[in-house]
Amino acid sequence: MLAAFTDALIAVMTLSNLVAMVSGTIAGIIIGALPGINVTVGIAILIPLTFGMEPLFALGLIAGIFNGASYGNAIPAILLNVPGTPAAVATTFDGHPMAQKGRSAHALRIACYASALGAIASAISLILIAPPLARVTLLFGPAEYFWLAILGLSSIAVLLGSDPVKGLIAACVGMLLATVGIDQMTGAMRFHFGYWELADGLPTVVVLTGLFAFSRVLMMAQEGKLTGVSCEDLKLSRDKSEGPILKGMLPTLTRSGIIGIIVGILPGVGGNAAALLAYNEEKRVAKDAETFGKGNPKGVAAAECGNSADNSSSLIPMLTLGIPGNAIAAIIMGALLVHGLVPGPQLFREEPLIVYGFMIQMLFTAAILFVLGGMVATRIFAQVLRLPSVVLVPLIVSLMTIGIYTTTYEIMHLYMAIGFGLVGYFMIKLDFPVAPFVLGLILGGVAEFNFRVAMRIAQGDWTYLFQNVVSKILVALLALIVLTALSRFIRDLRSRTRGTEAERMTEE
Amino acid sequence: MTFRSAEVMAGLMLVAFSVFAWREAASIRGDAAFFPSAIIVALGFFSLVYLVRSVAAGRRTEAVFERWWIFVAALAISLIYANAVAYVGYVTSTVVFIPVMAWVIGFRRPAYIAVTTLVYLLCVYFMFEVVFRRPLPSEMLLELLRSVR
Amino acid sequence: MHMKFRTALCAMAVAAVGTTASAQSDYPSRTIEILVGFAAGGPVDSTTRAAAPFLEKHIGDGASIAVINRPGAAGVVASIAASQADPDGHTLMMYSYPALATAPIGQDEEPYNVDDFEYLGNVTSDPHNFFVAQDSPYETLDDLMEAARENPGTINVAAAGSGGAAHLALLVFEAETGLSFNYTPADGGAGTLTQVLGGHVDAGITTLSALVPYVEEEQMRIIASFADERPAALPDAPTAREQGVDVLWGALRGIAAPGPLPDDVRDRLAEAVEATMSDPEFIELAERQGIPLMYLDGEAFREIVDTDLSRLNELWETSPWQ
Repeated sequence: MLAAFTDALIAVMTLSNLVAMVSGTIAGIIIGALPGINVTVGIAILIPLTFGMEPLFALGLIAGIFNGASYGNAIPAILLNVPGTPAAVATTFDGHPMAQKGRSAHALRIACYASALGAIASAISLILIAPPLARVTLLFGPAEYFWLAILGLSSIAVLLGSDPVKGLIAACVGMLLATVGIDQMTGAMRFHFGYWELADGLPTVVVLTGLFAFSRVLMMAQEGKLTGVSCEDLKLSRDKSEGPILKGMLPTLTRSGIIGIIVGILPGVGGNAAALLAYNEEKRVAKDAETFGKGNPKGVAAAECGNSADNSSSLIPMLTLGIPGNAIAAIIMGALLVHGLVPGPQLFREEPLIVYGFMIQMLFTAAILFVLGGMVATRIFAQVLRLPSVVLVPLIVSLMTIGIYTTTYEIMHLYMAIGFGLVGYFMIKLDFPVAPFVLGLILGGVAEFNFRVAMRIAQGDWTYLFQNVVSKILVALLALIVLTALSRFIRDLRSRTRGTEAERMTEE
Repeated sequence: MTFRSAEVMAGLMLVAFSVFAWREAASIRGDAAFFPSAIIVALGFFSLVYLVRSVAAGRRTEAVFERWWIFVAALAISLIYANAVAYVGYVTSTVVFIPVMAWVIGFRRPAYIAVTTLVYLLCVYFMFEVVFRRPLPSEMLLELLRSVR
Repeated sequence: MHMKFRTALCAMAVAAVGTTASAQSDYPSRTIEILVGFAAGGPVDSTTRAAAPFLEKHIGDGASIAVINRPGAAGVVASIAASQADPDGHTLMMYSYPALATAPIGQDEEPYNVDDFEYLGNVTSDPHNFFVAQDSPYETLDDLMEAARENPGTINVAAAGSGGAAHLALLVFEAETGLSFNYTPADGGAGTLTQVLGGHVDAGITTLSALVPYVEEEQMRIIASFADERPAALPDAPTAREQGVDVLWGALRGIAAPGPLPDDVRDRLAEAVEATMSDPEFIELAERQGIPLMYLDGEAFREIVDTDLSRLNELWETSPWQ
């Protein structure tokens, strides 16, 4: 393997391949930063153009787009509170509050470095342990996926915050919306109101774009600020008083990186969940949990590291088993097929140069982010903010509209984006937490489907859910999370009652 | 509107939504109805708790939805724009939309807006038609001209 | 609906000015759109994107083609949109069969009819297959059928979503043999593969192109292909037919357009599809991408549809899949 690896390294280091990686990364940052355009579409359009290219040149572009976009989506998330892609939802939680305090440059740097580190860790996991990890994927049957989804949903408990009722309502609405469309088990239509367009369920990207991007735009319109961000705030030169950017963040990055990598390996869960789960976990273990959502740099780092750490790892089942775990892996598989490269175990044997070359490119483009993201892209994008926010409002609405519309040419999706923008607006105004809604929407369907498939396979035997080792591990983890959340809740309750008693005593 | 009355309204709407969803779920065939129904029951319960709590113990009296007419106008213009993009074409509707939206929400500098609109449209055209090769919705005006000629 | 509204507007305007639109002689007069009923990245999408430049070349006159994804309900959304578009040859569709024929069956209100389209030529054929993991105790189709006979309804068979082509393959197989299996839905073709590879189910049904690398790697075995003869790529894979079960089932994809087209436009498009299918460059590209080409002219495809439809309608009566 080492010989193949060094050969691949040399092949990747040619001038043209370096150009491909750099331009791919720049393109990726732009794709990520534009609300309504996502990586899948970007690569799908690129593929026909790669017919005539050298495989490593084409794959360099693709690797760049993939990694670049996972940082690019943080730029509007931090600066405008509008996530560039749904994976950056969690980045807005602390990124935008930081920007509002005049620390946008700092937040962008954290996002850039955390993204790059997450992507690098993920690429290393791909290079070093891809084949054994692929075997792990196969251990996950319906029962295991069910527990995994429940585990993810249980992290909602951490997010409930000061008002559990509102969080539970949001989670229920999210899970309910996840059931729209054809039921995969029986073929029955649910909540479709006669529209075939709803048969495949609500399009997650459209719903989340509306919920997070359009709602913020409505808020911006209502605030009607006539001035842009001043030049002072946009200075991206390093502020001495901030100290080292990632100081004290090693545990944060390690946790988020691991969560991102695991979520990436498992087909069907996806990057949108990775960032939220990493963010939740960070908040759960933090001693200063109350500062999350108010501009805690660790929140930005966790979210961005999480949503980048699933990049390369989501390619593991595709490259090693030929099973694409998500839409992006599927489209990259298409790109490999164009060049006659059939993913699967034989690929490592027959085309080691290409496989290892592509893995190295995933690593390199992640490293390129350090330089490009921090210096070039951020500087250019930040200038957009000098436009008054009332001018940005129509521009963002227009961009979202055309991005969503040209993905499917479905006017109904525009109505949906606006409708969910309305929902998001009222949720913000009335202090409903949005994260439980998103997790409910993404994981609710996974939990239901896999539970029912498991029951079908076991023909109604409940013990099937606890049969395998992986299930047992997941159940143990679940118990751990629920118990810690519960004990913390009780402790809070006690200290609160004790506090009021103390007050009463002093009053007397 | 005070925060408290907004919460009461939201609670009422959530309860109504639960009832509506319950009635819809009743028409789903077989065991496909089980999971949605269970969620709806939970949703209805929490919504009721929320409503009762807002009525009985809502204390917050600060105003919400200030300048609501701008919010409604921005929403209406966006809806019209969404339709216009599909039926009239992207460039035509955007040329009208950006200045109108900016004017309505309070920006009144014609030259500034004209230049911004132009630069924006050039960027979008380049990104979508040239780089991403995703056709923008065709322009009805151009088609009309063509068919007249 | 969007197209019709627009045409109506244009027609009104034209009438008002008092001129008549010129005839179709100047085809193609604008970008030709090919609607794809699946999201970017899937096999239908990649087939269309691979074929588009060659169709452009063979239509000639500087024709330009845009591939438009209208995903939803296994192609129904795109089929509805295509069936409502102007029949002028500027809107085409990459159909995906059998979903094309099965979607309208059993609906209260038919979303479209297979007669709404003119079929301009079939492009790919990808037969479905019964397969097991390499270490499965079921060596042959007979073993599996024997097991199903002894314990009806307990042999787990994974196939993508209820009512989809792979599930229907199982239903057709059950109807033909009188056996009953325990159908376990999987999350698409990829989900079917992981469930079988991971040993979570006994067998699976999916298309040949998805299986070839696994069979070559000796990770899976095809115990019955629903093709009419052994696939060229895997000559060791037995067909169901040669094992005495007369089931033919597979995914067909090709070009259709809302009808009735003007004669000259239809001929030109049909010729372009035929020329594309014999273009050596396209054949080579398809081979590299693993696209299983099979050309049929429009009429031949229509015959397959008509034969299957009567069988499917019967099947719906006895075991509706929704």
